[in-house]
Amino acid sequence: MSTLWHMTVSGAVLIAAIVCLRSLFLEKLDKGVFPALWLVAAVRLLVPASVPVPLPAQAMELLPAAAGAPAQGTASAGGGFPWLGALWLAGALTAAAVMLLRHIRSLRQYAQALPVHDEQIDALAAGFDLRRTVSVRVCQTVSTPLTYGFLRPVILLPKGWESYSRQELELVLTHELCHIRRLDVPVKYILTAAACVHWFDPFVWVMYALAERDIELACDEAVLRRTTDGRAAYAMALIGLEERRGPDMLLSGFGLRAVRERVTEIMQYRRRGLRSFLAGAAIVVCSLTVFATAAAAYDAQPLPTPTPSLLLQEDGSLPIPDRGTPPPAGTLPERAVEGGEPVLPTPSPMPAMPSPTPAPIPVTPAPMQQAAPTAAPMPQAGTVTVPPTPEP
Amino acid sequence: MKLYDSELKVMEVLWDRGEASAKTIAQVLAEQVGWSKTTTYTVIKKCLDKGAAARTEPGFVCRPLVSRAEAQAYATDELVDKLYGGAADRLVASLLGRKRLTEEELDGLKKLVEELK
Repeated sequence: MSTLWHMTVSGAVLIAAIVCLRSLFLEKLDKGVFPALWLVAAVRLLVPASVPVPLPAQAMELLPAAAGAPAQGTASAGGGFPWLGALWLAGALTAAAVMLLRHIRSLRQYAQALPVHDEQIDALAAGFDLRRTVSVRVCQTVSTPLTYGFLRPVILLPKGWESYSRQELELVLTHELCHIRRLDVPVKYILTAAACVHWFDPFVWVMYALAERDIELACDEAVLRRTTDGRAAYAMALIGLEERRGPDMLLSGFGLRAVRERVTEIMQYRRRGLRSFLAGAAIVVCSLTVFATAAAAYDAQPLPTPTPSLLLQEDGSLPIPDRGTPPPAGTLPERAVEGGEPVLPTPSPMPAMPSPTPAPIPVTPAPMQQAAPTAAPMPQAGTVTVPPTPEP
Repeated sequence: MKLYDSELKVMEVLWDRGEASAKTIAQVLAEQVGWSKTTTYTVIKKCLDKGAAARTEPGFVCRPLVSRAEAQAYATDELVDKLYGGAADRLVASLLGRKRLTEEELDGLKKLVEELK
């Protein structure tokens, strides 16, 4: 039980860190970074660390809402382990059973799909150098294209797929083939397993919901990297698919928001340089080393104050004398932009750790200001507790 | 009776053969559409439940209760209702408008018109 509790707290810290990173850098980093980070978090939540992670004081401070109440519960029930353990086990088994039954029911329906014979489809699938053979089928019971199966992946098209334009069909299939190449199906299984084990933890459900969105965003970006059709065509294809789902598939607020987010991100897509890729890779590697290795690495990690504070002082010290007199037009905003930009190459995996804030900063740095409002997705936790099945 | 595409696949086998054991249907469809035996049996069961087919016990031999013509008529009615607002002439107009009818098909249609006169 205490192992689970350790995993819960360190997992919550990791999830909070990723949520912060996501709200700061979703636009700036290669979108593949975020599913990778969620995968690290999910594995961390599933594999008990051989060395127990010490709970850092900051972590407890950081998560008063989530950590506070259950912590007392465990403390008072320290001796009463059996019933608490039984409660957890019952919840985990129920969650797993619900997920599994739903998934099996879907798979039974998917199995009844009929094969498609279409030259364009075959050519596209062949153009994707995948080691696994992909079959494309039509299923009357799905309302939107989806992919399932890991070793023998299957792309399902809904009944009316013949009405797709050739371009739409190509984009849809490229999207699904990207899912297959990126191994998103097994990633979703792992995420679902983590959610079942940690059914009581709102942080984990936040992770589950965000990870699902990030998987789609990363996949969209992979499509845009390959296609020559351009952003607008892809965004329109996506909207077209949503339209064709028909009124029986209620587009709930959450679904609509996710689609809007995807369309926005697609339209903002730019080809990224090597720099952003390296920054993303560095973040993933850092989070891996920090959280996969246990106590030693955790303690040895210095708080990343030097670089940011240097930047901030440069930024802050100059404007102070000018404060009284109106600054020359243009200099200040420019400086602000300059100050904001360099944050990218020095991403630290710890923005969640409030280092003892360097006090003498007159101007609050821009990224920090962003952090507060945009880290807000957390309160969603309550609304997302009904998880979708993991197959698409 | 509304039959899904998957159920129609099973019915096709029955219509082609008059009757067939579940095992035969499974073999045919495994080859044709790549279904597993379990999947085929699930779909056969649906056909039985809907009353589209019936089985006789020794050997689980199935025979169709609905004829191909009946199923086609139903599907056509549905199509006309859904896409052509219940007006069958618009369906015909749309078929003719596609100009992809062969001589043979046109002859068939002419014959039909003659018969219905």
